[in-house]
Amino acid sequence: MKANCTRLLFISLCLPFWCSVANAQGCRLDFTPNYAIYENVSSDGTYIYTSVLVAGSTTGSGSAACNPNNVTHTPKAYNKIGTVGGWVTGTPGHMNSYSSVQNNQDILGGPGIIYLDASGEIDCSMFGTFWTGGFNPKAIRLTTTYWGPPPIDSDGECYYTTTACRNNTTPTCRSSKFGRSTPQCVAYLSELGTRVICCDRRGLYVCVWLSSKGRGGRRTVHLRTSLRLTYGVCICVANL
Amino acid sequence: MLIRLCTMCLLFPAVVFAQQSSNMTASMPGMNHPGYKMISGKDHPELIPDLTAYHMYFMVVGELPNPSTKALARQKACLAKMPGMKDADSQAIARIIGAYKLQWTSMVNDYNARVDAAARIGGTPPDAAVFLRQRDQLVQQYLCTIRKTLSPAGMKQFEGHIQEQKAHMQITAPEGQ
Repeated sequence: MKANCTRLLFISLCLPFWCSVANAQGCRLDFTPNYAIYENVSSDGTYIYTSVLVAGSTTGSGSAACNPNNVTHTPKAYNKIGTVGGWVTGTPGHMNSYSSVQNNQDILGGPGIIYLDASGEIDCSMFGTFWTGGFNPKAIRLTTTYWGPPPIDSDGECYYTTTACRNNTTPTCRSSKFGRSTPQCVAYLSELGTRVICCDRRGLYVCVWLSSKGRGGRRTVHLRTSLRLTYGVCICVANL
Repeated sequence: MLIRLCTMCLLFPAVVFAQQSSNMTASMPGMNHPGYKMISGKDHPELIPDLTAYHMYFMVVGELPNPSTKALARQKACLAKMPGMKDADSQAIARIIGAYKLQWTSMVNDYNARVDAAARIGGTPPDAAVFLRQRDQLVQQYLCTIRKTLSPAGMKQFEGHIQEQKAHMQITAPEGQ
């Protein structure tokens, strides 16, 4: 027992010195990393899609002692949305090679908040991670956007040009599936010539046309259901 | 007592090693670089070069030939982020940036093959700066095609969208910045 412990003691004391020797062989790499990272978030109204791209290269060289030709760099992209995703590792290449990796994930969207975390790194086979990039985590949710005021009147139709999210979050898109001239107004009333246009949003969108040119001065009401209308779905993002 | 000493001796190097690992990025023996800085497009979009932004967008949204159904759905969702973009314009963008991605992938493979070849004979690796200039030229070329193909309104939206996307990009600052 005593002999075993003495052996352990010797090994544990010597191990760090062996590591230092390995690092003190005169191996030296002088290089400059030049990498970029891009995160993209989108949705088709059902799924939320996220992509993280890490790409770039390193310029520089190494001393003969460490044989830089054996040194490889490996790009890694982290893309986690909710419980889905994680790290994706690209193909290792020579330290001077151009490397890139793209990590695509998707998750079924919903009204609940989902957290997105995106980052990237480049690992050196000799020195470990030497470049990192990343973004603050985001809380995102798939939600129905509404058109932000003020509405615009054009030739008897009303429309909005921007989308908005509730609760002070920011939409990732300025518009989504809304048709440009499809009435999207909420309790919006406008007079254009002899016509009064009222647009309301109750499931289907109903456009009410009021005319004062009816028989005997009666105002007639024409209802028109817009079939072109779908719905607006967008991702609302709040930086944590 | 001796057992406790042995345990401590075993743990000590482990703790030291763990500390060294967490600081590897900051200081690694034998590795020397001037200490890079990152540019956040969210804070400084003006410092993200347009051509770099287009390249990143082309790579993420572009699809190589024979994409999966899921990949196409993703691409469609990405392109739908541009308000009021006509279908014809969206389809043109998808087609052109797909061609870009294919050509760029081929250029990267060729470049990396030259890097490997130089390494095998101990020669000088190809110039990375020249390679990046070639990339910028390629982006310019494809941007011209997009500009000729899209409607003026579609092009304006596309350019505006790329500027917005810079908020989701980070690049290593060029030396001196």
